[in-house]
Amino acid sequence: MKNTIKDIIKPYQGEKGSLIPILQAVQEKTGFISEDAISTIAMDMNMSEHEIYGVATFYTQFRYTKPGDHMVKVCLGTACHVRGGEQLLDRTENILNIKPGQTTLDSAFSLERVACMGCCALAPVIVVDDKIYPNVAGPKVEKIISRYSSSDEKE
Amino acid sequence: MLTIDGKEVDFKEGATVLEVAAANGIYIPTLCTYSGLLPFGACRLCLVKIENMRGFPPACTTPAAKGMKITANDLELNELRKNVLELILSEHPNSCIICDQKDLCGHYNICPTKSGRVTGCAFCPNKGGCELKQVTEYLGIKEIRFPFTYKNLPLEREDPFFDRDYNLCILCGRCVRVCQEIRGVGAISLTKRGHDTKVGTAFNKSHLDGGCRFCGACVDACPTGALSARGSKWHGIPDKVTTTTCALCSVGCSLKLETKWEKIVAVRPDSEGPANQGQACVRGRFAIPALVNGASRLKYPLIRRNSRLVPATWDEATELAAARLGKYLPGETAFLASPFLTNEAAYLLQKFARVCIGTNNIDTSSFFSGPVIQSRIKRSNMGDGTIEDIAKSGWIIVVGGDIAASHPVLTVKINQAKKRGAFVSLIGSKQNINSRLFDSCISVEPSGYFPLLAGILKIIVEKKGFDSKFVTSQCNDFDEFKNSLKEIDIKTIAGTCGISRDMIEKLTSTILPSGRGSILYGSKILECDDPMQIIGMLFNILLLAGSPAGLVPLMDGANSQGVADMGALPDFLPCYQNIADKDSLSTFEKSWSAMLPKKPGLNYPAILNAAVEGSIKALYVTGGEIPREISLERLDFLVLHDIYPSPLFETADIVFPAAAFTEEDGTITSLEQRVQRLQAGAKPVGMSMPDWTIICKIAEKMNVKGFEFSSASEVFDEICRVNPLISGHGIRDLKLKKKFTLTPVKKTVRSKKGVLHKKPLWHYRGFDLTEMVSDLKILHSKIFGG
Repeated sequence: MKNTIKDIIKPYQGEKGSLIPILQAVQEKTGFISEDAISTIAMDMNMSEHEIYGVATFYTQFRYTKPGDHMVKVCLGTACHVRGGEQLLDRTENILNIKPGQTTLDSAFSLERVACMGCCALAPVIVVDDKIYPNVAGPKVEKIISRYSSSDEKE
Repeated sequence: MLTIDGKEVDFKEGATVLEVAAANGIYIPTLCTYSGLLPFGACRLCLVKIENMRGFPPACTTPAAKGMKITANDLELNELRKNVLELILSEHPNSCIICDQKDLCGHYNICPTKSGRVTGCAFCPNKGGCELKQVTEYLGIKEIRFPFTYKNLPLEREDPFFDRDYNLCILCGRCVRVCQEIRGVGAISLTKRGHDTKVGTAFNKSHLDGGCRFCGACVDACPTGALSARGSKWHGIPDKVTTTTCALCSVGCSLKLETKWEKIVAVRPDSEGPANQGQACVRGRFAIPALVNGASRLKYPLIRRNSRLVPATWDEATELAAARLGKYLPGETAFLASPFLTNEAAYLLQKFARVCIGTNNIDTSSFFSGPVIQSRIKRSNMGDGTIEDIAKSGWIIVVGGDIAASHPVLTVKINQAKKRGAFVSLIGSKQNINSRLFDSCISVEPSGYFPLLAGILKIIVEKKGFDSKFVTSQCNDFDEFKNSLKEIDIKTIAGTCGISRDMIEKLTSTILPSGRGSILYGSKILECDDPMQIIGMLFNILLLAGSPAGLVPLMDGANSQGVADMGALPDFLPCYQNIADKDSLSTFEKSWSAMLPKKPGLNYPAILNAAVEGSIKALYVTGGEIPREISLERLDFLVLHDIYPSPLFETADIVFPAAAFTEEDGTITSLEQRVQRLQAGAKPVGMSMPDWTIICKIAEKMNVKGFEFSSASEVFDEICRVNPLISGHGIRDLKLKKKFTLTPVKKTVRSKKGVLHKKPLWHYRGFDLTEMVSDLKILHSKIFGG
């Protein structure tokens, strides 16, 4: 792990001001920001790991646990909110038994809340991996999720 | 020139509006400003109006400019600030702040239950010192119009030394900034954002795991009760605050002792302290109350009767000591001065040894008494740097010392230098704490110091990279020094200590262009074959860089320097007057009106050997300075000054209970040779007495004149009379105008290794502090394992 993180941050050469691009690159390549990653970056940039954690946690884009196989995003943008996004999130939380930002124990799903996917006409929407599901009202969400868990089982 | 509230004032370039206002006696409320920290603009209380500027700029982040017209205080600003403060208070338990009964309550309800959490009024550990309360009173807030949102965060008390209740935190960021900007550690930071913002660590690690070294700077910086020292949080307002000097290491930090119920209950660093400027370390900040208030402190003298130590009166004990000490020949008696004695006690101890007993068998067990003092005498006391010199250095080398553990406050100065661009290198074993302090590290055993330093000198001379103007005008013996380098071969150096030419060149390249520098050397150099030679070589490096004031010895004892200055040495009288020199001997004979022994006495290792062999029959020890493996069976008589029971109790014949440094007046001399005052914050425990008093009492029983002192300052007056080095408090002039001498590089092999008394890293008078303060033990084992 350490080596790959070193490889990822190598092009930045401990440049001051490149912390956020480094964090983004690490998240992109490894899926999340691990403790190891932060201590490696800290060493490289001669910063304290706490300082880096402070910077990273200011932004909502970074995650600190390994993401699940499928990323479930529930939109709470204005349009989705008005059309029942909250209830959709509640339902999804109940099905997966996790809160936004968490990953299920079997690491099959991660849940995130997002603010607007840019398709307000389809509200409320849920996005699994890169597929957008429109007008997800009522029990529809259960079907969508089960589609992913059963396909896993088949494989 | 600019105007604030109609008043025309001058200002310094670069000052902020807030600083200019404060300098001219105009108060602008603020909570996030803290001395020594960069402006932050977090609390928004210092909003002001400036003509031709939009909105309300914060005074703390706005640089003062010529012709500015500033309104610092008016009704509109006051309303605005009230709003801001009400928002802050809506997240901070505030009944204790806005209640109209608060003064009465603060007066009568000073000792509430020891509930760990702040729930309402009078439960806050910050009573008396709450800045939030002061600002609220200034702005006159009577009620808060916003609903109160209690964060309900768990109390954090898993770590040693201090508790954290972030329900009281107002997010001014002072703790985070002091840790990062001043201490250079960065053990905490502001995590998350918005309402979830909290001071914390990466992945919620404990402070212990996160690299915090518990210097307490964050606790001192906190304007609320969010951070509080666990040992003293419920003591309330102290009865008395006394400024003294820390005697737990040789930095010489100025501390404020807080006394309540005639006990030292808390200690804070003194912002006026010349060495520490408001900083302290874990020992000074947190360990002192536990150290001096231990239940087993010695409270009365003990004498051996029927092979058991039994309590005795002072009269009995001093009489017995006087009678027994008088029985032995001068050559059979020896004295060991603890490097934790005050100057007064050390001076009287050597006077007692020489005048009452007639022996020069007196030495200190400090690691440093030998080589450091000798090298200094050879340099006519030139070349030593001050603590402030470290901060102004362009390059710094630390040799053979774990500075962040042994002298933590010096890292603050190193950090200051680093901010100005200094390159900091380490020669020696890898440091356990704060590795970010060093830009480079050459890992080498003490046996490799000589070849490495020789290599550095050789490369500097070879490349003609030295300050030739300084060397030719200020230094003697350059040719001899240069010739001595001929025999040094860089290739063999690589063979002996595994250091390549590249590494040496890299190190020298950081020194040469940077001019003024500092070299801090620790006790590891004493494991070298010839420590004197090593110190000489370190001084050579400084001279070649044209930076003569920069050697800083990281002495082990708090008063290693002073004890040597006072003449607690076998071959020197006070002020390094050589015993062998007839003139100085007769001067002292005159001023002490006594005959003095002419033969130099035994040094520390020799005294220990003689005690083991039996040629020394009576030994006078001040503060457990004898290695445990030394057997004193053949000793006939042992006198001891101690503050706690120690292993030496098995052999001691008389034990005098000594006062701790917080209980006595006097002076100690720091590693930068600054003479500073100790002032008693409490009375000595039980019947214990300051060391100097004990010596005077015995001398009185021996009917010897010259020990009639009624206070430590009388002793100090006599010291100033006989010792021209000490002429009062403060720092000595270390930069005498004289030529410097370059020491030729010569490899010597030490024929006989002296006794290296392995002392615990954190100790006081021979006692391991980690044994006395349990939290210190937790920290110690975290850092060093075990």
